[in-house]
Amino acid sequence: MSSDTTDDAARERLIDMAAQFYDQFAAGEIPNMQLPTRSKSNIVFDEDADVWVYGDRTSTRSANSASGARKLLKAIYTIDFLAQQLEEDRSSTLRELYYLSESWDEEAAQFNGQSESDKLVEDLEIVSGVKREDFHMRPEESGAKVMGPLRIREQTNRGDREIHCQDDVGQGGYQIPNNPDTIEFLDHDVDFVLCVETGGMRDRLVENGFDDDYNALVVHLGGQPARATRRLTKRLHDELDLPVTVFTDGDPWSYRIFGSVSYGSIKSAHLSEYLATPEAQFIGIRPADIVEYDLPTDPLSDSDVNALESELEDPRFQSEFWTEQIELQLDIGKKAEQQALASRGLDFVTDTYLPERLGEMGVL
Amino acid sequence: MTSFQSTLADGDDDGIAEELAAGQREISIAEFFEKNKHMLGFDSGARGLVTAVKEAVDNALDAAEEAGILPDIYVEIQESGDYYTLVVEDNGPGITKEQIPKVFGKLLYGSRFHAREQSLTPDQELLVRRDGVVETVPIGVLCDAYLPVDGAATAPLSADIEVPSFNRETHEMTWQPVTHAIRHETDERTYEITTEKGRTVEVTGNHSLFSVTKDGETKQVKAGELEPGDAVLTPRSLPTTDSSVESVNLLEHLTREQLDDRRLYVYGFDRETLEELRNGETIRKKPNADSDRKRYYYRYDGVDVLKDSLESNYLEKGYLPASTVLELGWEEKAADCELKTYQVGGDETTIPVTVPLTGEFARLLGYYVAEGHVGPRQVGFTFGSHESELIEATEATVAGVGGGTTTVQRERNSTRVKAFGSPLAMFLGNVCGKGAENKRVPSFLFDASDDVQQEFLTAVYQGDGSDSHPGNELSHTTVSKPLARGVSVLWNMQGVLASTETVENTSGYADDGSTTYRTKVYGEDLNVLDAFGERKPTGEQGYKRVPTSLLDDVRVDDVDAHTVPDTIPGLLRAAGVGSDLEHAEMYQSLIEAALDGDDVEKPRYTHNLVEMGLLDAAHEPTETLEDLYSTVRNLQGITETDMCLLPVKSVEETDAPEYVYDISVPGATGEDENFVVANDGALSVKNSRGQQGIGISAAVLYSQLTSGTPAKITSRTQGSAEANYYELVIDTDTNEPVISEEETTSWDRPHGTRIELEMEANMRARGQLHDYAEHTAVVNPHARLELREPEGRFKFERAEDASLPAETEEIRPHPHGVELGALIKMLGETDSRTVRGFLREEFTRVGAKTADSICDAFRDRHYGRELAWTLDAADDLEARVADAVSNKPAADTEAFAAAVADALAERGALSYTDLEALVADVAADVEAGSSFGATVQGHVVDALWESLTSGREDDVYRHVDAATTTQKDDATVAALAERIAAKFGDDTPRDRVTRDDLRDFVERAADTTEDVDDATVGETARENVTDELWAAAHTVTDDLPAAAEIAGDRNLARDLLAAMSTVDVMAPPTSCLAPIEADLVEAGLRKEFDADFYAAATRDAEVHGGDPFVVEAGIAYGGDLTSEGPVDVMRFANRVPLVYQRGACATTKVLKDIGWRNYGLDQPGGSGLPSGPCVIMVHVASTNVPFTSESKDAVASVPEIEDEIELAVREAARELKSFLNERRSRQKRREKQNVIMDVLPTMAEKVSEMTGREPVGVEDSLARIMNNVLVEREREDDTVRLTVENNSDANAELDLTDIVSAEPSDVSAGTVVEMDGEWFVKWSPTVPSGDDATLEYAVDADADCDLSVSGVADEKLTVSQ
Repeated sequence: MSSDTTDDAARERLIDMAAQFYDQFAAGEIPNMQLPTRSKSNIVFDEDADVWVYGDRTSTRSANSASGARKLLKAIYTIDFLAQQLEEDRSSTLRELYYLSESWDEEAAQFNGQSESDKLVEDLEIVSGVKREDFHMRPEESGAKVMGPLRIREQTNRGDREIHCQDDVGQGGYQIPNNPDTIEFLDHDVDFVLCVETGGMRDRLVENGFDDDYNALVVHLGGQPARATRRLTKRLHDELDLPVTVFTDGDPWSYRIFGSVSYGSIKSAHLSEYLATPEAQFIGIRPADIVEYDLPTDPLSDSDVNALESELEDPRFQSEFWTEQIELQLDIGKKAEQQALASRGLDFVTDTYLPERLGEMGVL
Repeated sequence: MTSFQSTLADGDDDGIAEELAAGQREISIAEFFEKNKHMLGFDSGARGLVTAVKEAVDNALDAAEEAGILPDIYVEIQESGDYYTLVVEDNGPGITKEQIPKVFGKLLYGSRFHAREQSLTPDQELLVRRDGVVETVPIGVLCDAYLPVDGAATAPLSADIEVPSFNRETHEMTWQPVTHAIRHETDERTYEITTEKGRTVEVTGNHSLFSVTKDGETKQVKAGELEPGDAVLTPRSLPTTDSSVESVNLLEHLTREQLDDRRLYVYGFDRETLEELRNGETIRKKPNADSDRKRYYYRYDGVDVLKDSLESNYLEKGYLPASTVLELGWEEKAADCELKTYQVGGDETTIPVTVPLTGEFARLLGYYVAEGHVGPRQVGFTFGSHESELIEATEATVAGVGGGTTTVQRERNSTRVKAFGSPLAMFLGNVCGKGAENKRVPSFLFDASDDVQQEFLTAVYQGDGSDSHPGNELSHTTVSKPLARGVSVLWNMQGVLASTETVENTSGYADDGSTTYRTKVYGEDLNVLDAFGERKPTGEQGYKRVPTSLLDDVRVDDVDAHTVPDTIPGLLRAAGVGSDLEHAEMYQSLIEAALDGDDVEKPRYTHNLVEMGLLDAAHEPTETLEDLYSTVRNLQGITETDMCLLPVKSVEETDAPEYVYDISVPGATGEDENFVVANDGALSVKNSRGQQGIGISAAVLYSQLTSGTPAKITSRTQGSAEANYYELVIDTDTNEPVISEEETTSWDRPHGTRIELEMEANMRARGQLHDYAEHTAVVNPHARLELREPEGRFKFERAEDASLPAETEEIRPHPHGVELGALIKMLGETDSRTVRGFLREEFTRVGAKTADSICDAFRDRHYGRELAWTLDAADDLEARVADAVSNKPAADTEAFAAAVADALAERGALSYTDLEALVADVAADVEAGSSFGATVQGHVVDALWESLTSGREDDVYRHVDAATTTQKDDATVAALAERIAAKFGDDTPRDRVTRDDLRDFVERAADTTEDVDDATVGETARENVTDELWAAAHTVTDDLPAAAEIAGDRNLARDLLAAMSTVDVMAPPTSCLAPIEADLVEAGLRKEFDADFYAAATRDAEVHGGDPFVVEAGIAYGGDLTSEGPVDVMRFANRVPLVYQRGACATTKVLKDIGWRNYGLDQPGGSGLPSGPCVIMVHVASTNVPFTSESKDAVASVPEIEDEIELAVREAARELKSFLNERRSRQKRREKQNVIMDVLPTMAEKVSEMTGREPVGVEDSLARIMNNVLVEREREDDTVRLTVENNSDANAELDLTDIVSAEPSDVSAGTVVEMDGEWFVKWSPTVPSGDDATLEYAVDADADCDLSVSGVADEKLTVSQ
């Protein structure tokens, strides 16, 4: 998948898809669309790219059934809408697309819910090979924030801006735009990228001046990271050759956050090459840390256990490290938050834990 | 309805009284009908009309079908004034005048289906008053007198028989007439109920006794559900008669036979009376065969009186020989005369013919009953020497009666009072019984006044009684059961409930009998008799107490007593209020005060009342208290009526007899329905109502009774020029139909019958009427039916091509379906001499082999089997045989002995019969000069039998060992075997025993073994040993009794019936059944219902009991049928619609239990009747459809029939299911087509527009879509169903692979391969064009499935998952 598609090219692809349907009609065939099967069982490890991508199992969406016909109709209407949007150089959010469909005259083409339209846009990304950003489709949520010794130039609607991600920003840091490919890296003093799951921990690091002390670029993930955050992280690694580390809570949901940064998500496996940073390293909180640092913990809930067990079977977590850590966690039956480190003092994380862990990992 | 109030026998006006009584003795048919109309289906005007229509139409259908005519029936109901007129016309063959009464007239009793309940075993003693005389009689004896010899039957009683019956409202006991005697077989268990005070009764488990509710109202309780401690209502007081007997005519209690050769004369006739005899015809005859000349006699009223005697002696002196008086029946005329007799010595004794029934005379009777004995001419009373008062009293009373000389003989320990006078002796013997076991209370005493009865009781107790028990008890002991029963009844007549006991094997009071009967009364009850002094009550009598169990519902605290006095404090105590009567009394005053609204202060008691929840915190009475107290008030006084409550002591199951009996007693209100059993004292039991047959005659009678008009019948027989018109009434006195009018008339039908009935009715059951007509039309598609009623007209046309139902063949009875009575009747009527021939000739499915098996089973039962023993190998048999033969040449003897020994060597165990046959065979075959005749054979057999039986122990040991478990130690086995073997010998000739004998041997041997050897021989082991021995015994070859002999011997017949039931017999043929057949069921439904779908199923015939039956079911669905509410259910039995009692019917029950959702019908709640636009019909055809009741409204729950109903309905329902599935998939397809027709052009337009190309057509794509192979996945809970639907015009060969994330199970015809935690379920079906296939498997509902299909071009495949 190309990382950069011009509006015209994107529009071209959309028209091509319409033409494909036209040809199918003309040939007396039943209109259909092939898609990779989007399930856990159909992701494979791409050894070249070192990321997990969709396998070759496909499913066909065809007008052979009533619901199939309706889905294709919706796809065609959406294709038409996206083509027009590109032509007019406008953009819209995924939510706007859903509401917009209400205005379509053909009732059968209207979406039943936003999840349907979101999924369709992803389908179109896959089939067309064009990222939704290139269709000018934005998510509602903005990208997260970064803080650290990095100078960039961003093309904004109001012209290019040069920004230093420490000096030119407030305590909150620099806000990553929806399409991070509009950013150009100018120069930096960064030694490594530190992605942090929670806002509280990011604030602690910034307050303690960790970014200054260790030349770290602190990226706030804010839960499951948005595409823009992941894309920026990947570019930081690929283009600036920076080691990427991920610092999360010590629970199964946080491992999935690491997983999506590192290996790519199942939902967007078609974009893994573009979004995933396979070289990213996990700092913690590791189950081993819980034991080692005797952290305050919560017991694992049933859903935690299920999630851990499901991760044991997840192809993305089939490494020695993860198997060992997850099994350890299942053994001790406990989980811990990043903030649990505060039980050793507010500076423990910056003065002791992170330097120790980063040292072990060979980053420092 | 006639009243049953007793208005009998007031003496003054005998003629009228007799006439009245005669009218009441036999219940009239009208009465009968009135009593049973609910059973007959005429209990309301609405139902009566439906029933009348039903009966008339059923009759008409039968008439036409039997004549081979397609029925055409017209029913009309018109309003005519206060009544309705029902007209039913048919096109049957018409009926002749002679047939009319038979068809329309007689209401038949005792049809095959009785309400079989409520019965007593035959030997239960009833207390009855027959023609004014009170006595006890076994119910079986009483009923048999009025019933046919055999079988189940009901008959009206022709005699004036009354029984004590209590009024359910007032508990007042009066004599009430018995209307019917009833006898029937029963499947019910029987139970013997024993109460406190020794009352017993043996009844069927569903027979009701009475009890009371906690509010004191009478309720029925089933015997089978009674438990010890439950209270039953029992007569405390039996009714005496309004006009008590004041004197006894001795002549009425003497018999002619007694008087032969007795010189006993009746003096005191006036001349006028005797001269009457002269009016008799004068005849000449020899006084006896030995006389040499003839003499003149007057033959008066059939009695010959010697002319000379009359003229010269009788008239002169005004007397007649007593025997002549009895012959003439002149007892009444002799009432004022005297009896004279002459002793051997010549002194005469004189006794009046009529003795006043005084207290004195009653005492004499009492003394006699207690102490007396009679000789030919004298009566003696034996007293202990110390009983001088009694001796004097007896002397006085005998003298008072006129017993002539009394002499007193004193012996060492006793004193005899001898009263001479043969009439008195004969009289006492006759009325009081002779011999200790036969003593009884003279029957006229039951009708005597209380004083007289009390004198009698006093004398009995003084004589035979003992009041030596702790002062307060009076006990009478006798070996005569009738006497004990009579004494108990007399006590009841005094309002005293005596306690009765049966004591086995006592010595002392009784002379020698092994069973004695004791009748005891206690405490203040003794005060009834003056002679025993004043007794102080020591506490309440049991029968004056109330069982605490009655207060179970309101009880607030535990109570330790089982009964309490029938007083307010007593009952409070029973309810748990107060631990003794004193406390309870205190509570009573507090409770009454509280209920009156007064302040209640009595610290400890009020606190307790609050604790018990009877007062609230403010000491106000609670609802609980009000309930409790009203219960107590209602109950109080229950024992002061004629009834009291006795707790049940035990309930034991007994061996049910073949027949059980009942009588019908309407009682004072017509609904009391109870009578008294006096086995060991009186006990009240419920009786059943009389029963009935049913038919058009009931409708005729109903019309006659309600409107007073006759049935109007018009009939034209085939080929006759004119029709006849008749009016028919039923004479309700004789139950005979009478044709009251008759004329010829014209009628447009060429043949047929028309009946017109006017009756009280209403159209409230219009719905049922319409249902009936509609249902009839459904099951009789060959009939045309028209119904016209005031508000509508309905025509049900004949289905096209419908023909008459196939004629049914009559079959002979099946051995498993015959009842004893019927078997005896058949045996009596058969032409076959032998049982074997009888079985083969008279029964279906009995061939030579089956007949032989039955005969052998019969032999086993009748003769028993012979045990077979093995020979002792060591025994020199030849020598034994040779020794037994005498007077034959040695060589012949030797040859014979050798041949016998050879033959024996080839045989195993031999029975006596086997041995006889073997010896006879050898004797016939042996080649020797001499012949070996019967005598020689006998000797040989005896000799060999000795040898055979010498080894019994070893043989028995082998059998016992084989039959017992290996754990049984050898010593026990050997001991047991030895004891069993020892039972055989001289007492068991030929060692022949029945199975019961054998079981008894084993039982006794086992008991002894257990006692002596301290071993255990359990029930199973005993049974096994018996089985083993029985199996080792050989069936005998004796000739069976002839059929005629069996017919005359009930026990033989019973054995034969039992033998018949033990042998397997092929199911009966079904040609006797008339199923409608599936296609006609469907045609019937099609004709009457405008539906979308019809299905029908007829099952193969099955058998229950010996009766074959066929079940058919039909379903109509959709169309104009209403979709609201539950489906319509139509039930039929033998083509007759069942209209009422739907809920009670086995059909409904089965339908409710089917899971209709599986068949595509809604079933709210998953059980019960399904709902939706659907009609379900079920038809049961059988030679004997079991109904729940006489009115034949509901099929009884017989498992075999229910199973078949279910299978038939399911068969039809499966067709419904595929119809509904197909309809659903067609609907889906149509829906899909609609969507695609809509969507595809829009898509095409859009893509043309976007690509800027020419508009493109969608037709080809559409065609492909609609002519493809559709694979659809449906998931229902754990079931995954893949449907492959081939819409193309070629076979489709597909490969389907479903990838499942959990392990699937129950895969239909596919393969499953597991790979990396995913399961690949594969099928390769071939689906023909236009067909479909369903593939199923089960998997956890949460599992993911991913289906891929190959083998069909993508464009021709639609996978919908």
